[in-house]
Amino acid sequence: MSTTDSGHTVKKFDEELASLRGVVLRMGGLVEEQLRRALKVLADGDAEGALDVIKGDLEIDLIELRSDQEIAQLLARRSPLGVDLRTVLMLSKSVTDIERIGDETKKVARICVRLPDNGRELRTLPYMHEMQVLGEMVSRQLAGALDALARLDLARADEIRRNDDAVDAACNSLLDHIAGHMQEAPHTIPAAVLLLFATRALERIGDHTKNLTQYAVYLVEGRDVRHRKAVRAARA
Amino acid sequence: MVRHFHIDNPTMKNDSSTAGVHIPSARAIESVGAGGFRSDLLRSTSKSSAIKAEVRGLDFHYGGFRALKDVSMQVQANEVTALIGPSGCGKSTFLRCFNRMHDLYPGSRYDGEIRLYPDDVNLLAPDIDPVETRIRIGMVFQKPNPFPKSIFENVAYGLRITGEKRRQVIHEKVEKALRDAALWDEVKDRLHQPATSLSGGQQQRLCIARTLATEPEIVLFDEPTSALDPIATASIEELIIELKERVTILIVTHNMQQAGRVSRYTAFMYLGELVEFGETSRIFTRPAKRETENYITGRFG
Repeated sequence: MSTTDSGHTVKKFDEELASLRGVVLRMGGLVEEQLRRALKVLADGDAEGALDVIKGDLEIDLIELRSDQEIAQLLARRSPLGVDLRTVLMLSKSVTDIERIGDETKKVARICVRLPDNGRELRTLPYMHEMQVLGEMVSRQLAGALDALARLDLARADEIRRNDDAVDAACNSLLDHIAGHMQEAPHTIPAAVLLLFATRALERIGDHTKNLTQYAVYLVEGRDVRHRKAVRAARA
Repeated sequence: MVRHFHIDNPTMKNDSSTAGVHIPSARAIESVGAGGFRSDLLRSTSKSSAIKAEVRGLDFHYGGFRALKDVSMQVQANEVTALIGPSGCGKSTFLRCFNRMHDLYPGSRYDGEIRLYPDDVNLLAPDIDPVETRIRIGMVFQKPNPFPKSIFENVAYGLRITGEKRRQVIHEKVEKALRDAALWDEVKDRLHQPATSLSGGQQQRLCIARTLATEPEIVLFDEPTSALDPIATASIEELIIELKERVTILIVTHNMQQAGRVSRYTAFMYLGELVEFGETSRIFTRPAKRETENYITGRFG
């Protein structure tokens, strides 16, 4: 017997964990792609493309079902402990957040379909550039968080987590701009209301992305770094 | 985008500077526990923790073989402490030091101390009577081993060797021990039948009753359910959890889930050493030592 870091004595356990990780990361990759497409669709006013994004979310839902099944099997049959338990728990929570990111992405695509004239007039709105910048920011955050999760790279995870404040600030600034312009140009209100929702959806994606980085910390170090404000209040 | 986990097993690595998993040192984890909120939030309201026994620098030799190496730990009163580790790691040897079972075999040698509180006596001191020790510190073995006597006489046996002669007292104590072992209702109408007529699970509870009859302070369980089916196992585990209100319990088990279900503290032993000791809730979710992690996750091999 040695204490080297080999795989499990039961090889099948390694295979099952690897399979689950693969499924979750594939799901992450798909959602990342969906978000990129949704943002492009919104920028281009591409209603047909938007329908594709909406349809694409179905695949993500199916992957959620499959990974939840694998998680239940792993818990029931392997009774994981230590780092294995943390891995399964972390992947299970990640799946939920990734699926929600998919839902928020779908909302962005839906908004494109519902915009007057599919949003072809959007380019004339003065805050559209800001919206695009926000979209790219959220997209980069998501890609970074998924990388950090895949590589269990806590430095990267920490960087992404800290960036979330900047995302929130950008969202708030954009919301202000949209509301301000609504007063100046009331005829843009129907489109602007929908864009407020889109901004909110991007903010939520940012929040779910932050959750993913926190799960990475839990997996590697066993520390739960969520809800710091609540914990500080409880300690005070 | 296709992503793969950077490392196949997110287990602890020696080189924490790689992009892979950072290894929390024992001290880092302890500092999280001590200064962090997390353990405070997770920690259930613990009753005042009295120490029932303290092991200090315990070495044990079978002839020339050093089976235990400088083991030190505290046993909390009225709690269940599980001893886990691979076969041959010394956990049963360690358990048997508490009631001087090794005295029965020539060539064995104890060094160090096991202090029993509140008396503050060293159980390993030569002037301590091993027979008296075994009355104060009871033991339940892997296989049920009732004496070839009646159910009643099995439980009365310990009382008789302590010199109890009053029939009424013996009757009362036998009934109480059988009730405490959750066996009374099943055997009260056949107390004088042979103990061997009972099922395996009942025989094991009879052995527990036999141990309880002399009102021990500590009960040692050496893989008490490995010969039982899941239902009998559950009833023994339930019993262990109930008994800790009255006695302090040490249990050796190969079944990690069992350790998780019944114990508050867990000691992981390997090659005669105590590798890690701590609350079961932490040991099973974020052990500090790599050997513990490898063992509980099934990576030893």
